[in-house]
Amino acid sequence: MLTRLIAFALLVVSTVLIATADSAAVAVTGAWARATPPGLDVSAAYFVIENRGAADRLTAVSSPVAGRAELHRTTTRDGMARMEHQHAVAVPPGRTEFAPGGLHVMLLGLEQPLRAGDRFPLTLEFERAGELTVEVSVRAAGGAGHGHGNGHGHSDGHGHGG
Amino acid sequence: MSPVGKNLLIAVGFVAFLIGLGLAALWPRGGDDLPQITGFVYPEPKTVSPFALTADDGSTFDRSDLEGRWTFVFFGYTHCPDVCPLTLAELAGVEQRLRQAGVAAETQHVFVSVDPQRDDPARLREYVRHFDPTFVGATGPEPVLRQLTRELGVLFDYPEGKEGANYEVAHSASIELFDPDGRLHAVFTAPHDAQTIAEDFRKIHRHWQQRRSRGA
Repeated sequence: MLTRLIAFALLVVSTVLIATADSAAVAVTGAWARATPPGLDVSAAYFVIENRGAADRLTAVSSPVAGRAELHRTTTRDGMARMEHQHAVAVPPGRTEFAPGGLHVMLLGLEQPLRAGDRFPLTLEFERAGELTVEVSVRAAGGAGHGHGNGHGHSDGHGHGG
Repeated sequence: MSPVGKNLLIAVGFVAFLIGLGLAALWPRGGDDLPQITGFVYPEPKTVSPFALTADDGSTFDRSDLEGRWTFVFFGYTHCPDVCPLTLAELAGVEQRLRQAGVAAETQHVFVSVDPQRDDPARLREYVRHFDPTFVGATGPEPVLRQLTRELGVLFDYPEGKEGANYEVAHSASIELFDPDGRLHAVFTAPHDAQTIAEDFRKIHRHWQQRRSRGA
């Protein structure tokens, strides 16, 4: 009985340690989503992934506020913007940015409108780092401009070993 | 080659050079020194064929609604989660800057939905006002949208089988600028930035006024 208990405890501890070690390699910061215009149940969420470990992949996203969450990339080719559904997004060591006009999480079937100042959880599933839940803050639609001009100069120098 | 032949060649070369110089001075310079913007200015603004859309208050929006002031037009759809809110937010920033500069009264912003199946005037009205209370929404039957966009060089494309409630529409990311004569005057290309567009607009505006005062 005692041996089994100890074995179980060890298992739990090691699982927690492994999980912590892996997810610590990946950090998600600055998560925000755009407030929904009246009558709409879609929005987009953005964030920055900092990967200090080995190459990883973001394979799924989910949130209790949305019926469905998908990984999308807006591509503008020959002046035409298209949304491309991504089955997974490569997260190489360093910085991967989800930002307006590029990679984003599309939130569909929102239970309630997102209002500026609201916060909601978003869970990201990584192939290696496992699950990571972050808090997303909702910004006014016009707030998209805040992201402009920031973040440059941060984009390199981060690939700590792996 | 004889010295005479050589001198003749030099003389001919010199005369050709002078002619070239004269031509360069007389030649109308690259479309009257069009303003350099993020996008392009038409050397000759383009007149579009008559069209009739429905504005967000239910009234008709046609070519005459483009006259008398500068109109920024963006084509998109309300279910668009990324590019459209991003662009409309930048346009709201443009409007704010033009307001501060005291020229906003001469401008209007129109969002044309290329998704009439889901975007009726009432929805459009709520949508555009979310970005700026002065914004106008408009849409119309697909054939009307097709003709208008074709003339403007704007594209849009539906996925196959768009019956469901969730489909995405591919569309041009550019912003079209019409002058007070209701002609397509310039195109701002993505990615858009409010500050840049506001500055570009003032350049275009100044250039247009100068051309006007010269009676061109």
